[in-house]
Amino acid sequence: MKDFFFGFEHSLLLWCAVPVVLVLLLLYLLHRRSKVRVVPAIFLWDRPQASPNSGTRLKFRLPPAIFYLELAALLLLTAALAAPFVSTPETFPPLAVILDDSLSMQAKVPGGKSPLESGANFLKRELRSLPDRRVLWIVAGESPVLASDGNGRTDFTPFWTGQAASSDLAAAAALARRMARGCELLIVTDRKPAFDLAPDTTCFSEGAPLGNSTILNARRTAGRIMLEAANFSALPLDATLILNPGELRTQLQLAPKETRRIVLAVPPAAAHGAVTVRLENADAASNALLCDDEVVLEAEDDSPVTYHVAAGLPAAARAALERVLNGNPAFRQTLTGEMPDLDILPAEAESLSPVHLFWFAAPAKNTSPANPPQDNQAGVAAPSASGPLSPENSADISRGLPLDSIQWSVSVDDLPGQTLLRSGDVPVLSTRQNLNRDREIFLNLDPARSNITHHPFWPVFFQNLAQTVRAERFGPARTNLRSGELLHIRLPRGAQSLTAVRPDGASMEIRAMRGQADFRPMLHGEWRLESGDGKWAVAVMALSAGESDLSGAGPFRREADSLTVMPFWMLRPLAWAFLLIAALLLAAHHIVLTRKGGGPC
Amino acid sequence: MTVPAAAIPYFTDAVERALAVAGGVELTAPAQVSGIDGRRVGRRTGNALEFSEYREYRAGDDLRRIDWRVYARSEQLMIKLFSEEIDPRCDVILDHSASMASTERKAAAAISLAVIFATAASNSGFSLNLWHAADTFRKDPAPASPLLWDFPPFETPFSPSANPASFTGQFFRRGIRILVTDLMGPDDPAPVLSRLADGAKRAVVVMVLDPAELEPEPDANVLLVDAETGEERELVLDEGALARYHERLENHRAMWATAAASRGVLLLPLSASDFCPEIRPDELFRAGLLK
Repeated sequence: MKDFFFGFEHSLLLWCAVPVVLVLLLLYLLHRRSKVRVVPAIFLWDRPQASPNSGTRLKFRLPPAIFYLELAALLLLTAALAAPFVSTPETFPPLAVILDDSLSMQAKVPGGKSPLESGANFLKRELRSLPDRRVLWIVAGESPVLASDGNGRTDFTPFWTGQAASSDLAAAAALARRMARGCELLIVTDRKPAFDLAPDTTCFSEGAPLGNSTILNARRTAGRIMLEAANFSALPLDATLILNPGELRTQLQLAPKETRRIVLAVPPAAAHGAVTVRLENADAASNALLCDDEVVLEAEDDSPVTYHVAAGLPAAARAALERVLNGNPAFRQTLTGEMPDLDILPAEAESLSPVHLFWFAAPAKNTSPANPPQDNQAGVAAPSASGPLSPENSADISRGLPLDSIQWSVSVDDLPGQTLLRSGDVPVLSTRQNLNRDREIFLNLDPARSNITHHPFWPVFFQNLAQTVRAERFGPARTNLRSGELLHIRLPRGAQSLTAVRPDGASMEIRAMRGQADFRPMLHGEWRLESGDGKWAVAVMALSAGESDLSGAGPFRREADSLTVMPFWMLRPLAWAFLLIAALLLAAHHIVLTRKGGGPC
Repeated sequence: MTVPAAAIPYFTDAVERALAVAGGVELTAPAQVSGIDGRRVGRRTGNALEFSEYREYRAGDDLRRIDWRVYARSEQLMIKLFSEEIDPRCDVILDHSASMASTERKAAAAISLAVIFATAASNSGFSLNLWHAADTFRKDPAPASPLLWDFPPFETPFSPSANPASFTGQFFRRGIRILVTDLMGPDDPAPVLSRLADGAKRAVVVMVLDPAELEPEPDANVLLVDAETGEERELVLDEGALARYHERLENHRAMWATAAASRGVLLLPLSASDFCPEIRPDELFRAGLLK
């Protein structure tokens, strides 16, 4: 009984109906109670049966307002009473559908159906038999994404495209369990999942171990393109690599299961633009996936880092900088009015560039940058390094630095930020990101008493610094990435959003958070990004060895041990029957009242 | 069952208002009626000591009334007529059926009318009987003192016209009989009218109706309850129902008027609003009942 009243969602209707009925009853009694009038001679008045205006079988009087109140109350009651017979989204455990969004879901032979198409048909059939079930949709790419929480019917086709470089079904299942406690799982994929399926998990796979030729990896650096092509079929592959622009063709023969690396030269005409490489396989039957046969590669941004040295730096530091930066093609001094990529300046100075190198270069009279000296105490010995150099945290800027036989003299005892390099107990190199997401690098070095400017450490450090600065420039952190990989875009100052134009022409707006926009481009091809004054292009490639090799795909079916069926949903027409009966009773009641004595007014 | 008149909330007010109006009013006697205790003599000859007139002897006259002195002087047999000694009488009958109290105003008006008639009759020196027409006709012991009336409530489940045989007493002969009622009964008017007119010098039926009965207001759903029988009818008092009511009421009044006229009974329809709360007895003067 408790379940009857509280165990279903529509019990709210019942409890809404109760006060309505009470109010209705009160109104009805008050309204229907005739005013009593004592008359001396009732024989002078009409007999109700003979009163022509009191209603006949054919004359139905206009229903009064109370009639509609009665109707509303009856409808509420009927809906409430019928609710136990009608399945509702909350009556049964939610169903979480995990959609394998990996590239291999598109694999098919000419004339056949891909696992994605078969899965879509299966889902449509399945959902027709679960009309009121709450269904969560989880797209399983490199990381799972909740596409719909099931509050309302959702068309899954727009977000299930099979573009991801991989699919983490286990993570998607975990996400489903977190999002809907007690839910049942339905996985649609193209192969048997690699993890143990829970008893309440249904799995549908219509994959097949088809042959496929593919570009496995691609990278573009300094006028060269390095490719890795593979033949995942049982037959030898005779294919052609076509590089555009220029339609440069390279013949390629690959034995079954062979993988080969190829290096192509970028045509001078495309030195600063995108190039496309396509693997053309004449045998369509041995090439089930087409999307992994082509890559677009954007030119890497290797333009020189523009820098500016503040006038406040000590002369020894300026000399050390000139020694390493002059003639270094990775650096270029800024022109007048140009915003530098890198500002090299003494501590406590201010800069608008994306990367600031704060150099504590002068022999310090204080012991900490946080405690400036109170007076000029000339002649006080500066702190010096107290031990050998040792790396503490890993970062691009400290990667591969030669640390042997360096004489490092420090200027202060401590540095802000995350320490990357330490001399004894004293941090000598640290980094942090400030509130504007600008990269701040702190160098604790007295060049006058160090041999560092004559040590290999110095040019390697600045080479790393150039790479770090390039990565911190406004725009995308990478220009070539695999589909589904997370892309960071640093937006120009003041920009609030990023517009991304997909290869198919559709555009999407991405809101910025603290000057940065992150998203995972899925569709392979060239994406155009715009934000403020900045315009960039990134290439997304559908490359994945695991997905291109279809040998592991295959049909697989598993029914859940206890997939809840909804036995009552067929009784839904009863609710309509209740409504119909209620309406007929009400109409009959009203007609009888009308015929009796004028009826309610 | 009777109750002290003072127990009826509106009784005292109605009586006092009527007494204030009826103080200087007299009941008009019929033209052939005059004299009371020697002050008024009847037109007919009688046995009174007061000489009235002479007339010629006609066969059968009492020889003792022949004035022999006139015969001696004129040799004509003349009969000496003496005026008949008449005591003018009035019966006031008040209908105590429940329909008389269908509204308080109507009941108060009926009481006021009875007081006016009784007081006027008393002022005129009439012998007065006040009859309470309840379950039976009961004579009030103090008809000339309305405040002392032994007044039964208006609760009788039938009107005098329904059961005239319940009157077992005697009206004054050759007096004035005034019935204050509403005539709101489906009964045959003939018996009660005959009973009222027989032996009376003048019979008057004062028909008191409340304005709510004369012009009922339209209403939605109304449960009509008959004041006497308790019969109920649930009706919508729309224009059609009211029109039919008016038609039946007029037919009813016309039936009574015809029946009254055929028996020499004066039917005087009055509105209760003329007697409560303000008493305006113009109609009574106009009808020649009061002077």
